[in-house]
Amino acid sequence: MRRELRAFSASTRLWLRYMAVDRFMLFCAFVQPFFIAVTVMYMLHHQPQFDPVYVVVGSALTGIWSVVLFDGSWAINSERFQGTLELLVGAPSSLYAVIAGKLAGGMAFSVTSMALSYAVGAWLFGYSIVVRDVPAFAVAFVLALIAIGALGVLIAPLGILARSVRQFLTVLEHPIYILGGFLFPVLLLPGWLLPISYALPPYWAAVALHGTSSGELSGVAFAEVCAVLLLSSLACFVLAAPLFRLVLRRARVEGTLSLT
Amino acid sequence: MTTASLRLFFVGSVFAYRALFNWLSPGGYIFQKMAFPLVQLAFFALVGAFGGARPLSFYLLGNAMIVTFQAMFSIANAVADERWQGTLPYVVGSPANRVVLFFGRGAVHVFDGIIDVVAALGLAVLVFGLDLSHATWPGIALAALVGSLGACAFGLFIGAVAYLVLDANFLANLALFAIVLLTGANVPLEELPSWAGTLSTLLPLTRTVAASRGFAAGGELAAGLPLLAGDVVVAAVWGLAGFALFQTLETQARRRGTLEGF
Repeated sequence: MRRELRAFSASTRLWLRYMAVDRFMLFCAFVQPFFIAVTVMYMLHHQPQFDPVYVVVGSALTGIWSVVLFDGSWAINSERFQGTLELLVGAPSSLYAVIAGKLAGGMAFSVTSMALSYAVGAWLFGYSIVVRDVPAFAVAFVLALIAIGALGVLIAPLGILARSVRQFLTVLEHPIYILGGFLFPVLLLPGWLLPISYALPPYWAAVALHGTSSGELSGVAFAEVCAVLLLSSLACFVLAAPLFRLVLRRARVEGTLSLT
Repeated sequence: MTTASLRLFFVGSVFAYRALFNWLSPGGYIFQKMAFPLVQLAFFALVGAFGGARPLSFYLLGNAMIVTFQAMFSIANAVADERWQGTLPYVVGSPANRVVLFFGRGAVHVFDGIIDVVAALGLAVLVFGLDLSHATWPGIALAALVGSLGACAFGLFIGAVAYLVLDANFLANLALFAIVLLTGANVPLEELPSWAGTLSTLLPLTRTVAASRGFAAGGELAAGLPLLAGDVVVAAVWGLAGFALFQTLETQARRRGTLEGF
């Protein structure tokens, strides 16, 4: 366990340094949430019940998801691209710990999009950004990050097991903005899409963060949403484990990892 | 234009296009090329519907024109990737007509952009119920053509700039979000600060978006033509600026021997 934690920690630190100089990730974490926050502020500010914190939270979620999506699909592929994948799977350290460490670094990096979205609302537009239930929001924020990160862990091996899946993953950015209800209620969607929304951790992350920031989610309802976030995170980790085993099998037994 | 130049223009254009997309399966093409702009359209249309400041058609038509800008990414990469693929010395060393060579990169993408607009309008009608029963179709078709031309011209400019800043994708993404915000597709121009309004006039889609809304409402073709003509001029300026930059960089590279380093 200690060895896994060391691999996890080293991988997180290394990946943070990598992301700090990666222009695309900088774009996902800083530039894109900025433009989305400004555009959506203009689009929603006519609403009678307009709450700027809704846009701040929603825009930050777009940044977090974009970083996780691209980070997740790149976490293993970057090793293949650099020719280090075979070395990594041959090392005694757990591949799972290394990739989870990378994604943890990505999550930490993506948190900056929350600060940026806050700056857009508070400084650029001059709104008073007030989180109504700060302790609950803090809990929701941590759980939301874990849930979205867990989805990234699930995505990571998919991208390397099949090229066709990787093509599909890269266009999942806006669909999750939509199905997650980041910047509008999912009730605007057709009814047949709602079960898909409810099955996605980003949807529950948005419910938790919007609900606690507006003060509309508390007590039992808040506890239920937290439970769903934890369970969905667990489900992603459990589902990811056999996929990682398949990656290892392709590399160690079949020797076909670089051929997919 | 001689036959050889015409051939270079068309062959160069087709190969620039095939180099980007020929390896994709039809499913991959749809996902890579069309799915992203269409879901972006759906996202901003739904945010607009939630905001309720304007009718849904306002957002649908604005974002349907923005989908043409997917071509901007392709062209910017086609130009900028000459360096990464090691073909830039051959381009610079060839005796080919530079105008034909440069602008040929975008020709096929213009038509590809029009296909994207058709798909976007189909989505808007079938999924969001956009009413185009009174539309002036020749005007809509012209707007799609002009929007696509603008995207290609902007892509050529960005591709040339990428020789200096080394990252065409970053620049193209930046441009796309500026277009989403500043062309009036999602935010009415009168709501923007004056400096942003000035910037919007410099972008090659601002007038096309306005014209397409008029055509969709059944406006006369003649009423929208001046707007489209304005965007053709803006697109031409961006395309020529890209070409001028490309020429300048080529001259500097030849003079200093810094082809891979300017």
